Amino acid sequence: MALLDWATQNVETIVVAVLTVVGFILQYKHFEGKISDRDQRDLFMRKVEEPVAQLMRDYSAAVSEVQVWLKRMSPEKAEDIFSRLVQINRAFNLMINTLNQSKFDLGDGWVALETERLEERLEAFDQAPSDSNGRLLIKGIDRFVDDVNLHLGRCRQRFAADT
Amino acid sequence: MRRMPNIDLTELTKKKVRMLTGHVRGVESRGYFHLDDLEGKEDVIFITAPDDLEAITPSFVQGFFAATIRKFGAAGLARHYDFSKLPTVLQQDFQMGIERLKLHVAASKQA
Repeated sequence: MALLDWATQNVETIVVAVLTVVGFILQYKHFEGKISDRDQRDLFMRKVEEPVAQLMRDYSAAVSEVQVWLKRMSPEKAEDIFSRLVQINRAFNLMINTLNQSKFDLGDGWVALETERLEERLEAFDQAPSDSNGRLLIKGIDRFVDDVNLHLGRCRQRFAADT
Repeated sequence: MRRMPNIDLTELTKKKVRMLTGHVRGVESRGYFHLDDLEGKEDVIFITAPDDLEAITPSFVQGFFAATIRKFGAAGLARHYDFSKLPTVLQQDFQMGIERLKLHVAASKQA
């Protein structure tokens, strides 16, 4: 009875509260809950394009280092190149795992990008840092970067088609 | 006191290799350490590595643990193996390889 009395005396407050809640729900359903095409593209850029592009730049920089190394062939520099590429590989593999579990996954596309072949060349370079192993390493990186860019292009096309 | 089983990766690197890589080598190393037998007999198997080992790649981990995942699943693998004696970066490498293995298993189930 007391509650009914209170409600009767505060009808305006109750109406305002109900309308506010309904307003929030409608706003969320129609605007906040849906991400615009532009936001989707921004998200794709931030989550996929930029990190992949950064890693591809890191691989390219490593290629330049190997090219410089081929002219002088210092053993210490070979160790530096090895350690640097190990770090880039690790970052790439981590990103593959993350992307594969994200909304930008394309079936087993990202996970199919194996670094194994490149790593084997890196290992050969580490064990015998010779002219031929240096050149094979460069070829391995170049080919890997091409594969990644090809897959990224497919991913971009598919994503663009979905939005 | 009973000795805990320990897989010492120095036996693979022989202090000459700074990276363990390759699916095939992972499978061969599994055989070398008799993991199938150990997993059947032991509760917990420790893994250790030499200081100069810089990286263990996902391809190696996949070859090394594919049979374990098939037999026991990811939770069983976590119960059987203790990576805590490894440097943090190598623990992460194993974790990353196991995650990749799980992704491959999930992808092959979907196909």
